[in-house]
Amino acid sequence: MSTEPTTSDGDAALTPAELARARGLGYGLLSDLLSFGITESTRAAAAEVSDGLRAALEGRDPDELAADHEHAFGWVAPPYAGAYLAADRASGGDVEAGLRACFDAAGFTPDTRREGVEHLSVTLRFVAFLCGAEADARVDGEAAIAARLEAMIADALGRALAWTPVWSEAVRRAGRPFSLALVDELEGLMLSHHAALRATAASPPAPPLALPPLGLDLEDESVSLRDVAELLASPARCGAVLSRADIQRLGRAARLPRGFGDRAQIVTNLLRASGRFDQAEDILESLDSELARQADALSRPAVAHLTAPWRDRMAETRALLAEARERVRSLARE
Amino acid sequence: MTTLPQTDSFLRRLLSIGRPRAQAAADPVAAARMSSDGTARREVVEQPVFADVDVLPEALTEVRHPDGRMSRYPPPERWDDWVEWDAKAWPKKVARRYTLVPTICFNCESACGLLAYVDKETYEIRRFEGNPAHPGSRGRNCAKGPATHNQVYDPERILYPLKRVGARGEGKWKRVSWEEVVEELGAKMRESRERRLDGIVYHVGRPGEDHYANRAIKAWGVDGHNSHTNICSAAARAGYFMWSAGDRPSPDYADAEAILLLSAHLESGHYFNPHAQRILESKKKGGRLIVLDPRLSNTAARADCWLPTWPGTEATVLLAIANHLIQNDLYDKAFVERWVNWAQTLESIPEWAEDPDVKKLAKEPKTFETFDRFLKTLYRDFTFEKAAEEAQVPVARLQEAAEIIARAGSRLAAHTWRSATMGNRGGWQVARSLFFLNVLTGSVGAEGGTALNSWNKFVPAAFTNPPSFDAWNELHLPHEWPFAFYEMSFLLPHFLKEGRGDIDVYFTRVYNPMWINPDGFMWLDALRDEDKIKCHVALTPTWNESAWFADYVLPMGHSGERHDVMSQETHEGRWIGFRQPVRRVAMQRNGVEVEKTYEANPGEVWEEAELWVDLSWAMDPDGSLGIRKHFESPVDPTRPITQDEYWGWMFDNAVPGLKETAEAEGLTPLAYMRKYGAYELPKAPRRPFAQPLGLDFEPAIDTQKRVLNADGDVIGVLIDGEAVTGFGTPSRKLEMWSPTLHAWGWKEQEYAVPWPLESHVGPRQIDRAAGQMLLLPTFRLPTLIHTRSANAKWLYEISHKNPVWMHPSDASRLGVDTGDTIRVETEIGWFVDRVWVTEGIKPGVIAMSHHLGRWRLKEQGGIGAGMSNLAELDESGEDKKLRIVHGARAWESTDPDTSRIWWEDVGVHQNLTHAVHPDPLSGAHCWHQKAVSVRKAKADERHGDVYVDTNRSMAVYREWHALSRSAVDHSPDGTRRPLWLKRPLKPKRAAYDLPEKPFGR
Repeated sequence: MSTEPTTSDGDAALTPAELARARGLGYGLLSDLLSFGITESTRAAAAEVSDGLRAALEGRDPDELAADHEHAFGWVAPPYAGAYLAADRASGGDVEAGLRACFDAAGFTPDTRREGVEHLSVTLRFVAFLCGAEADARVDGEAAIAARLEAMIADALGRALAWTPVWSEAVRRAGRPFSLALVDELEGLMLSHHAALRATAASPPAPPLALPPLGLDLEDESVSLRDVAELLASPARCGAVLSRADIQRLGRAARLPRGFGDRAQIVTNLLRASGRFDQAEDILESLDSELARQADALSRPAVAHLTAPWRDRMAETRALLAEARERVRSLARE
Repeated sequence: MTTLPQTDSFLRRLLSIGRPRAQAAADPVAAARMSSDGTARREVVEQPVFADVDVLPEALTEVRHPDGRMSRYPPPERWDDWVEWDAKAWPKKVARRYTLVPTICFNCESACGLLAYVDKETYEIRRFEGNPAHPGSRGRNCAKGPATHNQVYDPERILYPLKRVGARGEGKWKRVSWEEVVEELGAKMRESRERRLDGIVYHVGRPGEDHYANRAIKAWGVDGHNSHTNICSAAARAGYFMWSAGDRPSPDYADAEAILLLSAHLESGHYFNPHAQRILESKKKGGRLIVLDPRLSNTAARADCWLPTWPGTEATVLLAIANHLIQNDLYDKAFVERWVNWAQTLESIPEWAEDPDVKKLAKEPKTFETFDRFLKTLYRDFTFEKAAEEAQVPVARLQEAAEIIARAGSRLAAHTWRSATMGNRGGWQVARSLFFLNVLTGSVGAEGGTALNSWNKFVPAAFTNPPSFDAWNELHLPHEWPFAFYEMSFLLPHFLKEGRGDIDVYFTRVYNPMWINPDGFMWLDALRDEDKIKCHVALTPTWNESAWFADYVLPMGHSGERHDVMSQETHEGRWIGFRQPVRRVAMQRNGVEVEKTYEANPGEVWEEAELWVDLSWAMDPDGSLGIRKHFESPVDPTRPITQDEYWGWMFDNAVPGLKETAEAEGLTPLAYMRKYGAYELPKAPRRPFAQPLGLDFEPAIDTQKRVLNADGDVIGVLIDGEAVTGFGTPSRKLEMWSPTLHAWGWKEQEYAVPWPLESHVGPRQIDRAAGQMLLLPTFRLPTLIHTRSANAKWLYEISHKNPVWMHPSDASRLGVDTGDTIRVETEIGWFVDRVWVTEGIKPGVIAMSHHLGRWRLKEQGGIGAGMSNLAELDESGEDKKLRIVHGARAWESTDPDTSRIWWEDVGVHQNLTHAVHPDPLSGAHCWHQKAVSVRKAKADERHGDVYVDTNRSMAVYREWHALSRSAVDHSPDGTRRPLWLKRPLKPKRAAYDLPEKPFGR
């Protein structure tokens, strides 16, 4: 049985069935917010259920909110699992296969007309579906079924929480009020739920996250700037998320052009420009600082237990950046 | 650090409100909608769908450009069958299979190459990218090229031929078939043609092609060509032509050491992309860029030396630079001695010189040494100090510009198109003064210098060449402007109002005269008048203000939906580009038979190339008018020529080297052009004027050392004892003093030689102390297309409003800040717009981009709701007022983007308030306006409001008309116009005779 949350306002605790129902509704709402952004109906619901969301919505017109949504979830950090977990940042591989297997096992048919299977909103919709079923099971007194559903929920949440902390930090760095409030609410719900499930025997612990290898050796003479950029653009390989906004910020701070293209391309441009303007060492140092900041943000207590593999990988990447910096320095001396 | 939210509270509240549901995605707009009167079905464009394929993508080819940049393209050998990931499906990997069809952009006159990615199964167009095989654009495009996709899939585009059913301008239409259109219009045109030779008018904006329509007009035997040249480039053309008989420059930017631009043309779209990339090449190699512009334009922002000159002072500045070269013996004396009509100029001194010291030189021996002294005397007062004071720029910066030009020598690439030439009365002398610098530096046709456009452009001949017509259209080239370059098109409504004539069939072709011309309300009256314009046919891809007042609205294709051949002087070299209907070509590659292009285009969107064939045939079905023979198939004269036959003949027979190049690839010339979309011709001589005539007979030589044939015709000139081609001028030399201007009554010094003319908005004409300002409208945001952007969502998202640029000192004087509304009063009315306070504009000058402020009169119908204002027209006799009901709004359509329109301000239609200013000589509309007063708007004066008194319109027209010098009074030989002056379509010699009863005499 789940650990019931404590109440902050002195009301009676929710029953397990109510709690499951409420969580289902919560995941559903958050899935809609993540996928559609603010619409007439989600706006009213979001403002009613969350002080944080209400504050972020206050006085803002729909166009602004749509732009905020698109900026955070379309431009800065699209919430696709493969973009964070696959070495090539693409979806359609093992990550998607794993999710499909989960959905199939639960008899859930994802609606992918708007978003692909790996989009976080689809996982949230799946968890909402499971929570609804759990609530029904608890109302019907079907404890065994409820426990099986809890295990499935724990699995789905575990898969999502493997990467959402790094994603949500990228969204936070973008600093848009609505998206910030949304990831706060989302992370709060997922973490508290996951923590409650971890405390029950019915939910086996998730296997540790195995990131693909870093896969870059600076000793290799064939390594190009593009290879370094590909590494830095791949969260799974470098441990960090360098969003477009992050890259822009780094470039702007160094007054270097980034050009256009996908993230790997603009990182390539940035590195190339840093060489052209004798700022290679500076930009490598900025990248190192950025990784240090991200590692620090991921070590906060709420997520520290989930983010160790990311932080470890960032440490490896930082060592590689230090090596690169040293090479630049010695080249400059020559 | 982020804290966890109050999860419990969140969950409890959720339970209390129940399950929220996301708003359902809006259903797509129904496939058919009713028009405003409910009589006709209005089809909408469906958004494209693409087929999945189970094939892996190909690798791209990397190309390094001359300026060091790199791009990647599909290799041409894979264009027939190209597979790549669908970017919109990211992060999923979905492969799509395309056939890549080259075409030519139609969104400005640069004719850049595009490559259409056409789905091999659905024939939908995924996108347009650059064509790497195109010699002019070399695979690169500006924003306008890829935005062609928006235009193709614009949900508001016109898909079927429409015919008016209510009163003209009421907005009621019915759908008709192309067969009905061809039959009805063919009959009207035949009826007109049998009665008169000036009743059919084809009024074109930017032609976007090189000969096809003109050939059709010639075949009809009418003087029917009317163009927008007089609001675009007439003054520049006149200035260049009077020097050289070439009417536009072709700078060799890539190899230039100094680039001198009278700005507004480059960033405004004329040759923007091909020229910009070559200017960058020059800069990368150390070339220096000098820009004259009172506005910190995109071009000026990249300049090494920016001269923000007061409008109307440019000629003085250019002559100060010329004077620097002359006084310091820094000019190319050998070139000038060889190629300038200096002896003729010295002879002419008594006719025009005002300065006694110059007059004295008339008595000196006619040697080049005397000419050198003549130059030094004539221009000695054009000091940097004088120019700096007049133009209000620092002396040191003028000096710097002059030194850059002196150092560059013959590597001076210079250009002007709109801007100063088209802004000011006498702007043609600005172009003349600019080309004077090319002449002095010997950079005419030099490497890194400035050629003439015909040397770098190639127009192939068609399979028949219709004869010249024996007619003169008084509405186009009236006797008052014998030097007009060319038709006085912007005065058409004024001429009609004066009773100079009427029009039987008036085609506006991708042209919106009511919106783009000055004094638009005069056009409104003209277009409504069914006695003056009896039938108005709007050939247009999209709705516009003028089409609303048409009798037929005929949907014409965009760049990927039509055939044309086009060439432009983009650089030192010659090429032709082939525009193609890409879906038709894709279908044909798959073996699908297509007879007419409208079968392959969306809806029944057609192309002019086929329409002209069918219409001409319908006009002369039995061949009795001599028209049909020019549209008969060369293979089977009993049927009309097909597009394959037309272009096939041309590429087989009229393009040097193409046949051999195609054969080397095992292709026919037509197949080669269909595959690559462009062809670069073998190099021609840089300086065709210096080419020996290579005569096999002993020619006669006249006193001017001109070479004559046996018939006494001038065929060349003797230079250093050799018979060479020379220039197309009467003297066959570059004419510093123009005997033609002299003979036609322009005898004074300020017309006779390069000299400044007093502009109507020069420093002495604007009383700044009284609050007057200069309104500069001669620029456009580079991502827009004259009147054709309002169907390109990407372009409108980038730029959609045209606030008034105002210097902080003026803003402070008027007590306004960015975003405040102001009322700008012109000679004939006023408008209200918002202010943008910026140091990027000269104090005393206000500037407004001239391609925004589109409007429609009905909520449903007309221009797209996201790109236009809904307006009310309030007319009380000659007083006309346009009031904006609301600005842009999002709307539901098949394109989800239309519901995401986030902007409201789509600009202000300033041209309505512009009085017409026909230059007395070139006929150009001098765009700059005197802002009689500028003040903060009052509460009842809303953004976008426009008021005009058309009585004032006619009064100002008459003031300028009085400045003209009529051929009736000045023609030396009883003709209407000097015979050697260019016209887009020249009539027979007999048509040049002045009429017996000239209008107004």
